[in-house]
Amino acid sequence: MKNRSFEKQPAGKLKYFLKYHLHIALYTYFWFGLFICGLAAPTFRVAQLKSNLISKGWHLSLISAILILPVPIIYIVRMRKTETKRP
Amino acid sequence: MIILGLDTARFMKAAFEYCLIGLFVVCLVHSWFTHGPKRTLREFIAGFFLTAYCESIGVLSGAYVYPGFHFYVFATPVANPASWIATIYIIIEVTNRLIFGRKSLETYEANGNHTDPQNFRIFSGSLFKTIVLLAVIDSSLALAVDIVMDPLATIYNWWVWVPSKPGITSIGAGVVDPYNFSNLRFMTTPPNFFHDFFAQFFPYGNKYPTRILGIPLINFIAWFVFVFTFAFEFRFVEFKTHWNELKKTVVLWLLILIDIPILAVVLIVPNL
Repeated sequence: MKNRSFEKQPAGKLKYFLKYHLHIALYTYFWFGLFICGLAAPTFRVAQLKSNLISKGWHLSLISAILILPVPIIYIVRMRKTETKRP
Repeated sequence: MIILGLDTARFMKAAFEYCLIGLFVVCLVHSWFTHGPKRTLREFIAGFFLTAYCESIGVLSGAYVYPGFHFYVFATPVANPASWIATIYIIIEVTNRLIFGRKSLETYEANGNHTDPQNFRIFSGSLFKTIVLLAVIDSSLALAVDIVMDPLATIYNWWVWVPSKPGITSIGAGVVDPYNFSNLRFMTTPPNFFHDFFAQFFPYGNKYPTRILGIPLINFIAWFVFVFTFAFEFRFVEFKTHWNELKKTVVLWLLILIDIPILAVVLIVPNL
């Protein structure tokens, strides 16, 4: 039987997080990068899109929050709701 | 926009390349230590070359260019296929967690599943339907990212689509405005066989006229199909627990070789 006590130590928790949950951390980091890019987008370049929906950079940030941000939130809820037994 | 003396547009262009290569390295190392080298090489080599070849054909066909990057593989920046497979690696695991919850963690051992795949069937008894559903969710998550990333790509010159104008079938001089980079590589479509071949499907130019958020509709369709195809094939191979590692690798890589010409033609030709 594997010794799980390491997971209670700070280093063990970090190792556990990196092994099992790094994906969602990277996904959220990716979203955050896109969110910032939207906020910092130069207006004259946004105009190049010739889109009625997007006329300012923050519009893209808002769309990113609507489309991408729910995923990490659902992930956290899902992880908390399913059984707490660790492999 | 200047923040703390830093031109954000130039920063976003350079950071895009280096951050995505960094993302690839992080995912590769993570996969190496959690899934083992065999599965890691199988997945990352397959995804990298599928994207590198298909994207390069897309560039050479005249659909878009990736201007001003530092490192290229074929006609595509290294960051492109590298980050694509890294993103798919991330998304596949996120989908598993969203659908199966903590149960999906049990699959997390070196070199594939040690858990009976029967436990991971959503539809009773149908592995095929389960893989299709998971691949659809993978593609949807990827599409959500792309809907935001593609307009940003045009804004920051990460990649630039061909203008939809009469007689125009490729990216000529003056289309790319190098306002945020100084390395003037791949600014136009080079003369090549693929452009001549695909140009016959667009006799009047006006390539990809239907645009959403300023981006061709075909791009979003292609992205969905592309991710779905890879995710389906990869998941299919990994669910075959009775296959040895060599057989899984050979089958996946052969599927990728078949995919490249089919996807290139099917996704470049429709002038939606």
